Amino acid sequence: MIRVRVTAPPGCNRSKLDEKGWMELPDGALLSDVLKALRMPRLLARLLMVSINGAIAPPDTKLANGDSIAFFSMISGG
Amino acid sequence: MKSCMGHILEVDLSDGTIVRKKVPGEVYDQVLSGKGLGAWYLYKHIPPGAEPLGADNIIGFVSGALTGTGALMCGRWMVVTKSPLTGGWGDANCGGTFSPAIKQCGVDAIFFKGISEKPVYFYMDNEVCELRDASEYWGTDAVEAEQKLLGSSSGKRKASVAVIGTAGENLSLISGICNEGGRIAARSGVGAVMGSKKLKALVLAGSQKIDCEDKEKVKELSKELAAKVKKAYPPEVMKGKIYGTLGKVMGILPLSMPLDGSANVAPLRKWGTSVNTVMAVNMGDGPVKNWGGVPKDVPALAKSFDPDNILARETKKYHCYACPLGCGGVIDISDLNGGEFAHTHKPEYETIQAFGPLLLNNKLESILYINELLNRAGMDSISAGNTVAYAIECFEKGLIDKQQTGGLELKWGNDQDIVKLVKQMVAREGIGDKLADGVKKAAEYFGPDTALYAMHVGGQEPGMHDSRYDTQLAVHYMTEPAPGKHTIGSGGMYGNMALWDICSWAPPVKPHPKKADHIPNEAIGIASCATVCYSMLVDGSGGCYYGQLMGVHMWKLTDYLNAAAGWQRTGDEYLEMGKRIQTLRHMFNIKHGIKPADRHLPKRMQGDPPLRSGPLKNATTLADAQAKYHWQAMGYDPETGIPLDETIQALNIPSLLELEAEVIA
Repeated sequence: MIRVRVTAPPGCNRSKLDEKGWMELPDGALLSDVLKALRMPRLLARLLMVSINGAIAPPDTKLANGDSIAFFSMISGG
Repeated sequence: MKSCMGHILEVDLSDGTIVRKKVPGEVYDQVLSGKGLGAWYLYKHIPPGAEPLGADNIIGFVSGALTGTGALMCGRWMVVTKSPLTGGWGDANCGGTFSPAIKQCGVDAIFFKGISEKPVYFYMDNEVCELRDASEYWGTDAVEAEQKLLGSSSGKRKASVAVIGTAGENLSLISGICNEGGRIAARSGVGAVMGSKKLKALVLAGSQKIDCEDKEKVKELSKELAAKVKKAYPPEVMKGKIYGTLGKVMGILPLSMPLDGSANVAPLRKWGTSVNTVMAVNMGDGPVKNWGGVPKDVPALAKSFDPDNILARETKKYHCYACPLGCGGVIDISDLNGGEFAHTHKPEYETIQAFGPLLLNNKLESILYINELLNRAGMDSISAGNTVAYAIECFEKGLIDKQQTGGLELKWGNDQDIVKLVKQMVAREGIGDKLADGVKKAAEYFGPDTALYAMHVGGQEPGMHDSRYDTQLAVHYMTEPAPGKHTIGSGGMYGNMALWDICSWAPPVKPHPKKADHIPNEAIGIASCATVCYSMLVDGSGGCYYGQLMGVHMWKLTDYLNAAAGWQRTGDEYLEMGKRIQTLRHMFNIKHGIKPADRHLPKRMQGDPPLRSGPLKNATTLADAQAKYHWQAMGYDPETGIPLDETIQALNIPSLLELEAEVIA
């Protein structure tokens, strides 16, 4: 099993996430598996610039333990 | 702590003596280096009542505990002093190359006291450590002076220079200290302190080795981070405008949501912080028209501040020391003002916002030019922008007239006269002389009717992030010992960092109604407490704000510290260390007569009167009430903001303050 961190936008199904926003998945799981668990359409995920560790990623990307999955960003400061 | 050099220098500018001292290891064990070492030293050595621009004040240049160890994004240097802008604790920090240069001279910090009779600069390499005559550099701008001073170095390696421009020499209370051709440690008026001591610059050219305990582990962590950062770059087809659209969506959404800091990496690498401008205004984070306006007030917002307009001018990327991100850049401005300047550092969001939407000025070219003017003068663009906004609003309302402005038409968006005003502020000429010390001093001069338009907290102008948008930010503006700083914490930053994954008591964030953030409560107080504790850890390490914003999963600060120091400390223990640093800074303020509970946000920044349209329509922030929860979580008296004795004892501060640095023969 692997654990990935998912910062899910509002409206997603959060039932597969633990209290701190982590999701457990089988080894070899893909980003699309996370999207399915969140019930997020692939098109919407692309629009929201879904990324793994900051790199925009296609749904068929294989996940690694500890990956951080995010949907868009807001920079603060400068 | 093996990654620290264990020594400091004390330089007395009045008599020219230089003393090297050994710092007890327990100091580093408890407060690291950076702001922590600085707070420990300044608390002990600046007497109460010391005039910030007087001989008793001390200004320190401190490196970070992780600087030079191979840890990435840990190359920031800190300036610590008693602030002439606020009368209390003052600090500023900057990237560039100066932080490792301090340690390569074999010390963690250099502290200056006294006042020199004539302008001097401090020079140090492996063999030489002395004060030198700076008369020929006095009166030159920071960029020019740095170039000349680099030529004066006789060390084995290229020197690194920290230098004031004319603003610091002129004792402008909003002046900073520059490095690397105009990058600036800008806040708290630190440049004026250097100017008051007739200290033009520090030139460091040492080449001593910086060690740490587990180099392999540090290397492994850096390799992991660098690999992730390398992959994170926006697709070529992606335009900067999309962030403005996202900002609009976020402004409309009734929900607040946690955002993952890792997603900041790609836009920062491509555009730098300029990508933030349109988004920030659209979502309500970026203040407009001296904090009294709304997005639609800014003419052609999206087109004027499209980050691709700035990117088109970029000639090269700029990376601070040991940074894989490279959010900086050098841009060509040779087409502006008859080619007066060939290039400038890519302006940061704070500068663009402060001289753009805050003034309803949509002439980007004027902002690029002002950016270089201020970098060369060594003047804080956040404070300067807020001060110009104040002057414009007062002029528009008839509280400052054309006679007082010397004929300048200080109208919203009048870029030509804004540029002229900035030049006057830098030179302390005409009305610029009255504005060169920030809005608080200006309002004292122009009268109480103008105070309503002077945006400052405890004397310092706020960063370009709206307190009505983010209550945690509002609390940090107020409760931070160096008030008004936007880099200490905010609700958005808390979500980005995901501290709950390293700290047992930090509450996780889930999507929630935005309105809930504006109701004072204990959970937000705990979150803001965790944030500030972590921020102090970052500053003690020499860490970068953008490493911090990546989140604890990307930039593994506590793992870096454990590896560098050979510790096995937990996240909770590290946040306790951060609390110790923050509490020391608070105690400094209290020792110097500052009452924390006396610092409030200006009414406008609290939403009084409320904005009648836009993303912050009717938004108010009950920052005073929320601050009580923050102080309670910190272990301070919730009413007065003064650390409780039991907290001070639990943090071992009394025994820490008994430690003394020993003179080395």
